[in-house]
Amino acid sequence: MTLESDQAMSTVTRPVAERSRPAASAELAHGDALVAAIVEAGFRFVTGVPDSALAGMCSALDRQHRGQLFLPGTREDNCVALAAGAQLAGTTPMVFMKSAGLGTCVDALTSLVEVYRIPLVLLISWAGYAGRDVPHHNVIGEVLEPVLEALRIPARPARLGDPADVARALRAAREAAERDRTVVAVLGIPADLLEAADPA
Amino acid sequence: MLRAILAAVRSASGAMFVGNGANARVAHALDDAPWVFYMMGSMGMCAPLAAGFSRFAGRPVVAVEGDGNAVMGLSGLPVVAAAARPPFLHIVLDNGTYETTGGQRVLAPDLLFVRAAGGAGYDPVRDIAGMEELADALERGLVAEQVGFLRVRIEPDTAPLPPRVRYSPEQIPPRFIAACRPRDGASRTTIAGGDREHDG
Repeated sequence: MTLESDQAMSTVTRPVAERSRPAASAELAHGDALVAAIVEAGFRFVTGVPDSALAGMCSALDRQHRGQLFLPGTREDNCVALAAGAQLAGTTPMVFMKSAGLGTCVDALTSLVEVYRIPLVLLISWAGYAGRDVPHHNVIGEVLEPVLEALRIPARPARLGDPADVARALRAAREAAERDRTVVAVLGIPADLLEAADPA
Repeated sequence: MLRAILAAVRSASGAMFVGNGANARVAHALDDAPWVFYMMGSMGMCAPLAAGFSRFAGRPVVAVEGDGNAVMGLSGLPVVAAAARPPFLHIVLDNGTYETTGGQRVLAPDLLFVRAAGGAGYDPVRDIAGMEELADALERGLVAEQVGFLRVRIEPDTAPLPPRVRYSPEQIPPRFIAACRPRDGASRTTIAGGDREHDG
């Protein structure tokens, strides 16, 4: 393939493939409610890499807000940098990620956002919460809080199943991040894992 | 090369992000300018940080980094191409080596950056070998409605590095933000308007 054809390809928008597993309508409605919670909490730019625990929200952002409120990144570290840049320009950003994504962006958080004291809020979906998830999520899920603490990132939990609770936690996180010029995380606990942790 | 870039950004009333440590030190020694964001750490994050700023800043933005930095940030190229608002230039100063750590060779084949940038959606993409070409690309790129990519071939520099940037990281954002305030009459964008990126 020549350089010219590479460049020509880049100007063509790829068609969206037929979805083999469309998000359920309840999931989408919940996603819309989470997007509304993010806006209500004061955020004006959102970036992140899609995650299954936030599937409805990711679909809502991708379908209705892409290019406006939302732009996707490709790894959590470039999402963090993109959001930090938006903050420098006076726009309030939020980055969402799965718990595993924290590992991908530790350097961007510590040697960019923390040392330059750029306010930033992370919404981390807590895959692996209480070790009640699939094995590849459970390790990071169980050490998420101590890792954040070691990174000096304050964190507050929220119930992902309750958009009003998410909105409250995000607003408090934004106010703390702006006041202290720091990174603050909201740990969104997926509803199914929360239920599993509190057996009836 | 950095001298020419700094002069061009200054005359375009633009903002500049420069990474990593060595380039930041050289740029700072040449022109201690408040509209330059000096990046000491977070390799690979220079261009996405600049793109996030560009999206909401309403002024020309240039991201300058070395090839070691750029090869680490390859996954961010489509993010930068989609997020940045013109005029925007992503410049890679490519000397083929990790100069600050003793001149080890970077694993970046000759066409890597221009092909990756073309595929990621930058337009134009230019492979630049000399000062005259660079001056031309800067003159066009800082006024054009384009998000461009310049790969600039340079020789390794054998001169000793200038002193470290005299500001602590946390001193840099406030002076950068003050220097880049929207000009009188310019309205600040909080939620982006139209977009270069189209969703299928």
